[in-house]
Amino acid sequence: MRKGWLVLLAMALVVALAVPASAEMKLNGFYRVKPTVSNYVGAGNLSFSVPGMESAAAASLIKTGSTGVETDRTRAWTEMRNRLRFEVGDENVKGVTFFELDGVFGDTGGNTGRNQGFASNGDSINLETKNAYLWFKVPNTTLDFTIGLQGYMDEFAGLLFGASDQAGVVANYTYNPVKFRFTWIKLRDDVTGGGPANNAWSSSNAGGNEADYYAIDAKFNASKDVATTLHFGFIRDTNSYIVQPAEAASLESLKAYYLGLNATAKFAPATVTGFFHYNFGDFTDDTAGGTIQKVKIGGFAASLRADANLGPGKAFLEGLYVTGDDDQTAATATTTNKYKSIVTGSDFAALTSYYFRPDLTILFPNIDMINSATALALNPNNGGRGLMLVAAGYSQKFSDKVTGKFGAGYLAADKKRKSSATTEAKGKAMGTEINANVNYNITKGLDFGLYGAYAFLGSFYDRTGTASDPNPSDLYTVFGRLNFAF
Amino acid sequence: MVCLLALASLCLSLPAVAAEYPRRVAIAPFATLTKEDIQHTVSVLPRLLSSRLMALAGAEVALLPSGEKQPVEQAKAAGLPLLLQGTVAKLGKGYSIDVTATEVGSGKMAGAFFAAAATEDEIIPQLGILSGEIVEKLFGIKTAVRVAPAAPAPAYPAAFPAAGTAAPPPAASAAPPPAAPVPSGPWEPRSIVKVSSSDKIPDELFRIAGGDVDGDGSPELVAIGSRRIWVYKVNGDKVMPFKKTEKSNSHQFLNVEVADIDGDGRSEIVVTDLVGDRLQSFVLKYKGDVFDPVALDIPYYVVSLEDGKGNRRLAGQSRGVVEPFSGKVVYLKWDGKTLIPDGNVPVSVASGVFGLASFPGNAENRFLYIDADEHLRILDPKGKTVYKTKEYYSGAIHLFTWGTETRSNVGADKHYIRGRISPVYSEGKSPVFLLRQAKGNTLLKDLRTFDWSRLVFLAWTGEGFSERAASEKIDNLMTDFVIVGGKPGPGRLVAAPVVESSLSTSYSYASEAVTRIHLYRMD
Repeated sequence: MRKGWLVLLAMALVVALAVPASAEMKLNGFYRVKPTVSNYVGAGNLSFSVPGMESAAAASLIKTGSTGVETDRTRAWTEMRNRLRFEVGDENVKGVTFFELDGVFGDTGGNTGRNQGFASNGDSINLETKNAYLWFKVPNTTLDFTIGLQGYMDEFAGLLFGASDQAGVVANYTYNPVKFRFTWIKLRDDVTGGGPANNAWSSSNAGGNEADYYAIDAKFNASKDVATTLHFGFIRDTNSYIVQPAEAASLESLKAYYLGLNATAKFAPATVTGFFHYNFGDFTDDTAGGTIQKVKIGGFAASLRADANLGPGKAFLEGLYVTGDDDQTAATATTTNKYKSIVTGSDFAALTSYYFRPDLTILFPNIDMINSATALALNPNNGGRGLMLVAAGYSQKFSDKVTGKFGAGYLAADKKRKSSATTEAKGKAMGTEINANVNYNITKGLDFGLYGAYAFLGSFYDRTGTASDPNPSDLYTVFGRLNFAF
Repeated sequence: MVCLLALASLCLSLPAVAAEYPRRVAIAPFATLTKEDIQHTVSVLPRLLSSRLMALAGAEVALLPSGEKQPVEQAKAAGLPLLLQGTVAKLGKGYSIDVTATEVGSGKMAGAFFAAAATEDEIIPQLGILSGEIVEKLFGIKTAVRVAPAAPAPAYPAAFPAAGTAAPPPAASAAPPPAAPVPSGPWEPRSIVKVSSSDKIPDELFRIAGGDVDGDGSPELVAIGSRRIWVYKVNGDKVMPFKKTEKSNSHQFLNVEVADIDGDGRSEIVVTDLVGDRLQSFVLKYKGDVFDPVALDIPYYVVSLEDGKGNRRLAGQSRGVVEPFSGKVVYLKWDGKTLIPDGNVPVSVASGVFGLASFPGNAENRFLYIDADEHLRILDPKGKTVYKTKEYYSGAIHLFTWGTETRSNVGADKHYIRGRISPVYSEGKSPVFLLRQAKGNTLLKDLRTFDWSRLVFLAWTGEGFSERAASEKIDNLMTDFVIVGGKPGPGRLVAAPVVESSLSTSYSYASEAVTRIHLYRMD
């Protein structure tokens, strides 16, 4: 206890000494309006990762009764997002508070809660706090801290943490030529046991049932054209709220370890970046009373991407592979069961993982998703099935004011993954997407873009195909994007 | 003929014995003895003469207003022993500038000076010559003598020639750049006034450099928009179009410098160019009547710095693998084929080389730097801030982005091409710098709207910066500047692109921005 006070005191002194005589304040952000015409809209923040042969679920493309998503008709709606980021301080200390307002035209008005308030009379309480953090440098050192609710990006393009908002402490320290990043994130501190009552200190078990993420990243340049990062991460979860894989559904605790390496190399024609990320550990039974006492984790992810100038534009080609588990019913032994995919941030909260680098609109998460945040695979472990993704894109500036891009991607599950002895996806192929957009710069800061994407659904979503049980239609979406950044 | 006249004027005005009067002078408004409307030029001559006398001799000068009282009476009332009165008269096709000095107490003539100017544009440079003569005769201070530029102005095209056609070259007898008397003693800037501006240029020019790129002996101005290069000639106080060249849409220019990198006496144009995600800076050389690329794919942001030995050199910084700026700042030299590193610049900068300048007289240990927030700083070699201004300078509008929008930001990181700092060093005096200042919105910085902009001379006092002189504030945004001819000094011109909006009197998000190059004269 005394030691804790000393640490706090030292931290407070450092902050006090670092407070500048003349702090500055900055505000930036954007206003974005996104009208959409589409034949699908998810419930938000959910993947369409349920195979066609399984039962309908809210997040599935299987329409049974009122459950599932109808893909046989077109809908139109308009979303809006406003971000406001306040920053106060100077180069030694800063405080950042970052707000967001989202809604869909006509949703509700005069209400309390996020992602609404754009219906008649407005007047909702709907301001989201994305970030509230303090950043400061320790004087005369290369050490800085970011403390509080902050955007956190992993070293793997968002595979685990895709610029998601997390509370914790991140410290950067340079010991030339190596730059270290030390991370502690408090993922959950549920004290009520099994329920998702986020951070509700209502239990007598205060301090238990929590989840933490710890990581060390060491970055260094192997040469002037090659940058590398070594990564070690650890999630410790003592019965918090996590979406466990089915084989570990009855197990309360998790210890997940991550070893990773990424590298980026500049060659004459292209910049190539890749990573390998291995996940191991186990889910265990705290009560020691169940048949299944332990499920080991053993999965990995790997990616390779090349970016190059191609003619008058830029092009990329990217592949991502995440291992999958072929049978969720296979865990029957007491301690030797194995889960062969990876545990990601999205297992704790939807959209924590956010692998948007391939810039796909339907297959994978896209940065333009607002309330109707939906894709075939939002969580890169794809419900334990793993995945294979290949994506390519080409963008070009057509004039001083007009830019365009087209892209394509193919997504498949790594494994069909039996959900019962007789039920598994008909095929692995989930979809093939083509997309294109064109953006016009109306004036500085103000752009309007037209975006379109079409996904040919694969055999993964096939049902019996009869008139009473049709396969889902291919997905399409067309949206506009009016954006004013300041 | 005109040169002979000028030379004769110099010889005739040399006194047999220089009488030294107290350095306290009154200057009356100059009279115009011509039917031509040159009043706007003549009206500024007393002020220009005043600043030159102050600069060259440290004289105390009072400008007399035009009024009912005779100038002699006004000077007497002000207690000043000398009165200067001048006229500009049209003689044939040229002009005669005559100045008389009168002892106020006795009414005796203290001296008479004259010079000839071939055109109205030549009047102001000739006044610079006359100032030296006045100072020499009246106060006994010798100044370096320069031959006055007095050739007829060459004819320039009114607009850019069509692609593939050459602009008529300037006449062989083209006037050299407006020469100013170089003071032998310390010079400190006292004023900077606008003298002219170019026609509208249909581009948002954000960077300008100067040098003799065509080898005609006079400096050209080279300004860039995001992918176009505009070369202008300066003739007197006129800015005339000369050449234009452009790259395709995939290019994004970030900077331009003009320097004689191969030592052939002719300057090359060095453009920092971002193509996609790659730095592919290039060098252009004027050959025949076109600018030929002589080096491509130079992987540096290129700027011009003084090396601490009085030499201006090119310097560069690389792009990192995963960061926008990486590695040490290095001097660059020409190896016959391209620019290669040639030793480290002894400074470390985290947010790029734009806005970096050597500290006059101490270039090994101190640097001036406009930081990412556009404060002016003094840095030590480790990049540590020794001093930082509260005020904002630069007013940058051009930028490149790094990274992408994520869920935890409001867009890709923006890296603005921050303004230049030009040392105006005066030996034995406080170091003085010329830089650009724009007042913008300090809360909504990324809006990049500005109330006014100006050029300002700052002196380093040892404890902070003090303002020595500044141009008038203008509503539009001045985006950069260059001292024409390179060396600062009294009478020197400064060229500055000023972006004008067709929508607003102040710079705002104009969809069709145009630029004029303004010329200022420092004294």
